Amino acid sequence: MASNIRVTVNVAKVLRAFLEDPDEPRFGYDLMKTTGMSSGAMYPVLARLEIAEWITGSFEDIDSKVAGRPARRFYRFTPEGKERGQMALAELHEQTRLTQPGLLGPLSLRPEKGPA
Amino acid sequence: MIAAAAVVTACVTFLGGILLALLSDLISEEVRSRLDSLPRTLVRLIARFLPPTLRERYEGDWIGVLDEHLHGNESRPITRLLKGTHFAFGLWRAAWNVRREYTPEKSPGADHHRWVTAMSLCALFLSGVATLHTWRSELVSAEVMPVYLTSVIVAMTLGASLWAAVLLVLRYWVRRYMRQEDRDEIDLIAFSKRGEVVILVQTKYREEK
Repeated sequence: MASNIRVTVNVAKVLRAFLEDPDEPRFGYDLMKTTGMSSGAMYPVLARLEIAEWITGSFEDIDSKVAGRPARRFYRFTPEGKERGQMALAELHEQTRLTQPGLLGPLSLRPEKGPA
Repeated sequence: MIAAAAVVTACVTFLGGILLALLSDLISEEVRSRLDSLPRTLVRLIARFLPPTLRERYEGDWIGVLDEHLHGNESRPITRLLKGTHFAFGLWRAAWNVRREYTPEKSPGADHHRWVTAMSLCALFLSGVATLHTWRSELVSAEVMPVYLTSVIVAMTLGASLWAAVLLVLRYWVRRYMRQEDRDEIDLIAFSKRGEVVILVQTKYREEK
């Protein structure tokens, strides 16, 4: 059974990358590209998600000699992990959502209203 | 005679040129493959830091990603070397943290040896400085120097042990405080009540049960 984990910024980045296409298995290299994280930051997050049984990893079934490259390890959501990941990100979004418009002042990303 | 020598020289030069071209190709190929094997060796070495049960899995995973780095679109030798080495060195941190993720429930003080080592090194350095200073200031004569040095080493060992004991107790207290506050996974800067003592504590990830 999947357990809860603390959703840090790095965990959220990885979850978002997985949730872009939840059924798609993800390769470490692609995840690094998508999240912009370094190997040192990403693999502990993957390990944490794997321990919590949110994701599962397995090597692709290829003949390295024929393919001309080593087998890659792909990570994918477990059914429960997918659900929990979506909930965790939704919760995080809810927690970080601005309640008052213009709270960030000049940093606000909200476009200024102009004449229609 | 001169014409024959010129022909021989021309032939030798021609053959030498061909040989040199072939050799430079071979050498560059050799260097290229050696450059590629450096990050791989690093990855294999770093994987050794993981527990044996995880080693093969992560090594395979990382070698797969490294291969993508080495044979991506930007497949120039030096670029490959830099990207591969950068990736491999990043894994150094990953290996420690992955290891920690898989062994979250360590007994309190299980890694106290790091504290003891750190304090011992600190004591060693300070006593070295003190000894050097004493030597130079000629406070201790050459005859009693061996006795003085022995007493410094004994005092250093006792001092380091005492420091380690104090720090272990302090660290235990800080960790207890952190658990209550649920502030794991961060570097905590803890202050004493009077704000004098600052301790940087790297805590480990703890699953919420």
